Amino acid sequence: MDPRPGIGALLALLVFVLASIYIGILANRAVSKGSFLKGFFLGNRGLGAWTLALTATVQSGGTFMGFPSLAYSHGWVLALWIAGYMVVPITGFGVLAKRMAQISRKTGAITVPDLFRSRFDSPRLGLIASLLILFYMSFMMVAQFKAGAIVMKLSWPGSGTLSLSEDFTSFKVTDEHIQDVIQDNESSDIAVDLAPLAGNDYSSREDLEAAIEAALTDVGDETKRAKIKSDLITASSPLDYAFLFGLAIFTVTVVGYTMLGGFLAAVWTDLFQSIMMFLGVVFLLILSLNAAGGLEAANREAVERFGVEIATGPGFDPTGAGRPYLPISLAFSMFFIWVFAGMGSPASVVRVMASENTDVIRRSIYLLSLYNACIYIPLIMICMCGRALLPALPAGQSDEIIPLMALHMTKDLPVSSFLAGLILAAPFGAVMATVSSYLVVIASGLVRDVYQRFINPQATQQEMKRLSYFVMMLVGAIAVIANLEPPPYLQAIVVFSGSSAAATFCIPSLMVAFWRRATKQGAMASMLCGTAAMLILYVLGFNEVGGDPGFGPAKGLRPYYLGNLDPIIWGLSASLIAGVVVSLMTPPPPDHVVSPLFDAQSQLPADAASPS
Amino acid sequence: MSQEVPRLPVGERQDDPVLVSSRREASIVLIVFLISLVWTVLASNYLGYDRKKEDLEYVFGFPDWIFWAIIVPWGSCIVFSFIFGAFFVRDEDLGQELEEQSDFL
Repeated sequence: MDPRPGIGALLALLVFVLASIYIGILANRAVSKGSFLKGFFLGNRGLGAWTLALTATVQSGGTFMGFPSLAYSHGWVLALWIAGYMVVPITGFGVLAKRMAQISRKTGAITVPDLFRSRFDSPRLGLIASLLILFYMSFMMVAQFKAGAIVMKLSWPGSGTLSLSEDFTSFKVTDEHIQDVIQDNESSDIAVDLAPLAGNDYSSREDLEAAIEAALTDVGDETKRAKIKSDLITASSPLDYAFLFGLAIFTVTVVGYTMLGGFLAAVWTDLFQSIMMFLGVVFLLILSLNAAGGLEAANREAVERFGVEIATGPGFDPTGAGRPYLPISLAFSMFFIWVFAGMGSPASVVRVMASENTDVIRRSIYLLSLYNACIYIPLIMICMCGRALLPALPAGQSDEIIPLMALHMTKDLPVSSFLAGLILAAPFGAVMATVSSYLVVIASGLVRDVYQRFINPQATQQEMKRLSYFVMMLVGAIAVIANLEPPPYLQAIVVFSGSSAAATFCIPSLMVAFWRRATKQGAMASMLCGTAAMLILYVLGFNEVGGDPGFGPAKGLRPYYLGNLDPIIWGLSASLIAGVVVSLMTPPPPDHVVSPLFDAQSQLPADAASPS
Repeated sequence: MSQEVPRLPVGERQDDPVLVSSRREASIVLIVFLISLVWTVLASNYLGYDRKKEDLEYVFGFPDWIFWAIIVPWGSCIVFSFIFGAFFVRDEDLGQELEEQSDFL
């Protein structure tokens, strides 16, 4: 029988929750010194090298939960998929960081829209940047809340095979569920087999599984049977109380400690989870390699079982249809996604703005470089050991490869449940930290960039404090309501909002930092064209324009791959061309705006040191 | 809100030192990005696709193409990141913080 999470997993999760609240309290003490806005939203510009390095890039709950699942499903080609991370530390901290930190100090900017507003002397540009950030962040928030609630639920003692659809109440199969499953699997021949299940109640997951197995004896293909079983169980799950309970605890914790400590609480919990994730991955890697008899043995075993595709491009197709997962054109695009999402995401830029000095930025480059190497390639190695040790997880269960490996690898060790729990809790920490930093960005966007700028410029510190708390609670409540019907395609939502934000803000940020001739009209055109290109390609793809591209995910939300390239290539290109052309077509920006940011200070009169 | 202050003629001004060093560092990063991209994607394309099971070899346990197309450039990037961060990026004074932002709301 599979090992199951015991009380230790819940204990480990509690340790995470309590540690986060403690961090929130510590952060609260630190931010209460000085101005509320700069303390709460920017941590008084005091980030050190470790905090900046391990928190300011694009790691999120989605990455830690989705990535191992893909590595298990498609094999070594995921190393090529994630390869852009080799340059993320130098592109993330070596290009924009120093200038953004400098310009934000010179202009007193606390948020990313503040930067745009001051550099281009355009409140309208600041407002548009704010609204676009809020738009992308809302998608990310809903997806992250779902991920957090799932991990919380999975850690519940006795949560069976850790399946997403596990439940405390009965399963009710209807005609509609059966039709959905038939449609999803494009298998009209199973309609007759499944028909007798319609209208029945099953008191447990095991009962329903047995009934489906019995009904599908004619289906010879094991993978197909497992997929249909998993889909029907998911479809017939009633309102999921364990999920909702997890969601409630998750929301109260994360909103609570973020309200306490603001930006610092977000980055400190992020640092804490990054260290836990590092320890978890290293620990699990050693156990897995040991159990599999070494990396080469694991690889040979996997190739023997699944064919050479599991170790080569374009990747293994677990459905058996031979669909290429990562053609080389898509691998090329992925290199851009990670690099530009890390460089241009507003949550990353704001952390760079908060760094204490350039020494911190320099050291972050090599700290993050080492850290990334210790996370991503080892995760693939663990998943390949997983392919050798737990070869036949059904398609719907590949999300659980890391929790399952943790449970299997630690089952003979003392305090195994707690050890497994710590590994299980690491992605939970990642999700909490991500949500927390987005809460800060959203609250700062609404309070600073919309309310203080446009509604009530005379607002007192106290008013803004109360409004920030209110916004955080409101965002938490909205994310909970959105998750009462959990959105599907978590990973697709994360990729959409992450890459769209990159295509929207990367080029305008480079214009802010390096191009004196860039104008406000150019920056606005750059933002809007980047956004438009991404939205158009995603909307076309969602509406199945151009049909199945023949590679990538077999179903689910996917964009339209113009020229077989990911939309981010077109988004960045549109943003660059529009930014340059429109800037050159419009009058140069006024000297009093750009000179303090681009000319050596010693040559300027003292009162010109900041844009007026 | 805005006020004109006397400035040196455009031709006599010098660029901000942080801008100068950031521009130089960004150019180097761009070159490293392009080299890594070309190395990884081209080497993967030639070594990692359309392979036969009997030809696949292993280097330190990794499939041979993963080692040459991913692990080696990744390792090189780590070494470069250290040299770049420790010795190349210039420490600069980021300037005085503008004290209170609300004065130009």
